[in-house]
Amino acid sequence: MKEVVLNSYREAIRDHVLLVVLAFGIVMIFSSLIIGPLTLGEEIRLAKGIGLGSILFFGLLIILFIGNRTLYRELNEKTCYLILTRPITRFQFIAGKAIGLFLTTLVTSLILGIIFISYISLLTGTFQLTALLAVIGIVFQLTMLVGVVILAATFLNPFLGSVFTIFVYILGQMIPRAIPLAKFYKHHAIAKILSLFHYIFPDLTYLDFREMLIYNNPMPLDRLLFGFSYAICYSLVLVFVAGLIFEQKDL
Amino acid sequence: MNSPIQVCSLNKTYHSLLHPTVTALNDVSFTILQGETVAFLGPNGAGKTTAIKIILDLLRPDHGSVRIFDGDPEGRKRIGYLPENPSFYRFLTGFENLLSLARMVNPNISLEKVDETLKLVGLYDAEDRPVKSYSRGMIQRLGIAQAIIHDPDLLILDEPLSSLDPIGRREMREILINMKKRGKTIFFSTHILPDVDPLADRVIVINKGKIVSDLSVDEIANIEDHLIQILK
Repeated sequence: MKEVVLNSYREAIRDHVLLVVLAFGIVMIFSSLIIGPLTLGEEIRLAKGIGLGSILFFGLLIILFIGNRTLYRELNEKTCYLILTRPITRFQFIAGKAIGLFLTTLVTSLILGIIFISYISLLTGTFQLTALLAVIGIVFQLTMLVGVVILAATFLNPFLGSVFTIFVYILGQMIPRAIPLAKFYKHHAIAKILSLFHYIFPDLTYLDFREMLIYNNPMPLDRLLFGFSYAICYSLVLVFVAGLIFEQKDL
Repeated sequence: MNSPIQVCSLNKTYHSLLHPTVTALNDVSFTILQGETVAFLGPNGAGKTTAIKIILDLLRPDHGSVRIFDGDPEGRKRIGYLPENPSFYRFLTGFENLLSLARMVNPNISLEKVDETLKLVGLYDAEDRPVKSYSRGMIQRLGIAQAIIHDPDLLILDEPLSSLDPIGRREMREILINMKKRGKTIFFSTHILPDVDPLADRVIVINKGKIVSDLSVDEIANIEDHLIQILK
């Protein structure tokens, strides 16, 4: 399986799309230098908001562009034939592709994250531990989306796979925020349906620490730990389901 | 005698909502013996690739069974497979692709062995170039290299000599003849009938998903005439 992981990672890292996305990400992080002066004393908050948003957005783009294409290419161009006729099981293959994509996402997020943390530390004059935790939170959010993309790629083409992943991302942000609203306005039936969806779709808000960073609120350790464990378990379940689908697939 | 491939009553039907149902294989059975070189012939859409994919577990049959090396659990390590139009990781070099595929079978394979195999198929000078810059003929050569690098006992080749120029075809044919002389079992499909005679001991013909002929080369006076006669 190690070779499948390395191949996926090396193939992705040499793709020019990755460099373009990274370049845009870096430009976006520093864009607050231009917009900042217009915000009348809110430069640092703006830099934190734009920076974290950029890491998440460009990480998502990488997952959509590279993740969706990676498995589709393997199947459509039949690269996987050479691998699956060797002593590699279909489960190992899917797990290898997922880990390769996760490594790609991790490396790109870390590059953007280090630039972002350095920039914020320069602006504030101190090292921002909360910025580091917020970046790690984004990496774990993206880990869940890697699982979503790998699952989608086993039964959808890249376009529909991207639509599916964006759909899951939006629901993952919306559902946890919508449940308290439905309860507050006493729409119990809607609240129950949303709670059901809450078990199916990933809850990305557990790992969203943007507000805490922007408003300098403390980060609760229990939420951090629960969020990280939840993200790992959720991704593993999705990759397992992707493996089950792929196991039954005619190639 | 050992049987590297035993195919028993294979049936495969493709269902589609938009297209009529296609029966790709209908009660296909044959056995390939150790050391045999067998050509698998038939017109386009006859079921050759479907049968090969089922043998390799890339497709699942509706009915029937396949046994590789009499059920040897390590059987996959002993197979070299070349698909029709092989495809590689485009951003990796020829060397990296070959090394990685070889390590999936033998993690301790040496770099010298990879170089040696690339020399054998005439790709040594291009080994450091990304595969995206390779011509179709070069990709076919790399395909043959990945099929033979781990010195398999059984070679399953789908159109092995297509996309090659005349010199390349001769070189690759010589590689296969050499493998045959070393006692390897070779099962190959082809459309290029002049390639059958110098290689094959036996010819299996499939048409519309059914085996219509299974004869040794000695029993066939002219392969082309034989093929035309039974496909009429």
